[in-house]
Amino acid sequence: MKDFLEAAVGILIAIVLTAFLSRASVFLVPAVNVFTWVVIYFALEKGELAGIFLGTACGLLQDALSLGVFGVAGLSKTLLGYLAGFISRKIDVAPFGRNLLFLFILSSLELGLWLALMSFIFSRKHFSVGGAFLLQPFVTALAVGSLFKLTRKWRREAS
Amino acid sequence: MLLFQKDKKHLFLLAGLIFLHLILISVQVPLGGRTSFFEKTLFSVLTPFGRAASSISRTLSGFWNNYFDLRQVRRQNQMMQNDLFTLRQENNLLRNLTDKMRTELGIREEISRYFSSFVVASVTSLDLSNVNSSIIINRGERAGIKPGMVVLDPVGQIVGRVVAPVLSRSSRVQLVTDEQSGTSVFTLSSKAVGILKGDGQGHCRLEYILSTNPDVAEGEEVLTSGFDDIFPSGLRVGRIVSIVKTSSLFKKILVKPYFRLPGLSQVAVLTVDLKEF
Repeated sequence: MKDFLEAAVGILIAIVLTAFLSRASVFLVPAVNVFTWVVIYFALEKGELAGIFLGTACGLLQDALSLGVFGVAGLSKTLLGYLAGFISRKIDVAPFGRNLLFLFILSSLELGLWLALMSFIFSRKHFSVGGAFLLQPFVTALAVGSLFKLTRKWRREAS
Repeated sequence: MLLFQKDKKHLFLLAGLIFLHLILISVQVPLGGRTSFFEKTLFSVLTPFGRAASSISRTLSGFWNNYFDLRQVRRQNQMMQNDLFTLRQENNLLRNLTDKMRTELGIREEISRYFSSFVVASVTSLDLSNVNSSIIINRGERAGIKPGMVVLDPVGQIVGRVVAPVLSRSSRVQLVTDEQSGTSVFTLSSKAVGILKGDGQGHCRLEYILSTNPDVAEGEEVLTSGFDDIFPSGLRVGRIVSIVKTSSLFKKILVKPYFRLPGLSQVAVLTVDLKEF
């Protein structure tokens, strides 16, 4: 129940933050994908099962706020959630530097998968998006990595 | 052993969800441009949050500005900007009208219809997958908005058109810069007619202009032709920024739309069928 509530709060924060970003700047929207942050954070914290379900939920929510094929972000985020949870259980990604690299690779993979699916669906060699999209893996890695660092510090101090 | 079984269970679950997504994607092929019930439901659940956050953000920024700027001057300025917005829309529509109307009597009869022909809406959210693809506005069925209606920026330049889903208090607008959009246009000086398609990166491509056409030039203005039965003729779309001659039958022409997505907070939705005029 607690996990479910935490996930719901995470999704709610993502929706509100996304709406704020939309109003703040056009350039922030493609670079900052808060739904990806939520999926990765919970997958690393709670495991691949949480990653799979949150990936589906957040992906479909993102699809609902986008024009295009419904389900593409859902599919790529479901895979992201699974991979994040599964790999983090097999290898230690806790050190900050390794954590950043891991998050960057994961986010790049998700973006690559999304682009590949869109190109496949629309039968195009290249599916064009704005250049700011390419910043998404960097921003995600920095944001989620910092969030983990802060959470761990806060937990250490609390205990 | 137990761990392996757990991994297997998760893998099955993952496979099931991927299968579900693939079905969801395939289902949309027979639906064409229509939205599925599931997507519409999610959209209707999400938009109130977006609208609320947008409204809070507007309120907070308004609070900040009102307190730290000259409050009275700011309010007056806001009112004047709103008036200017409305007047520009009216001016643009009236200009189109006078161009087309032959008799004074005809103008008088139709003017009254024009004044109630658009709805002002605020942009509440941008497209999360591609910002140049669509926007979400805070007006819907209650304000008389329907799919296919034309959307203009504060100075009457084309932004896009309303597409499904349209809810009671919000709707989605497909931008002219979206790769799936298509608008029939003509160039102002050379009168070349073509189809304008978005490139997904904030620009548009003017297609089907023959390579042998010598008249189309860089810097030329592009207007809607009205041949698509969606956009009325004579609306300002953008300007040609580059022309590349290729070995194919058609020229490669890049158009920069006039509307600017950064800073686009208000739009006007034309709620009447301008083809009638």
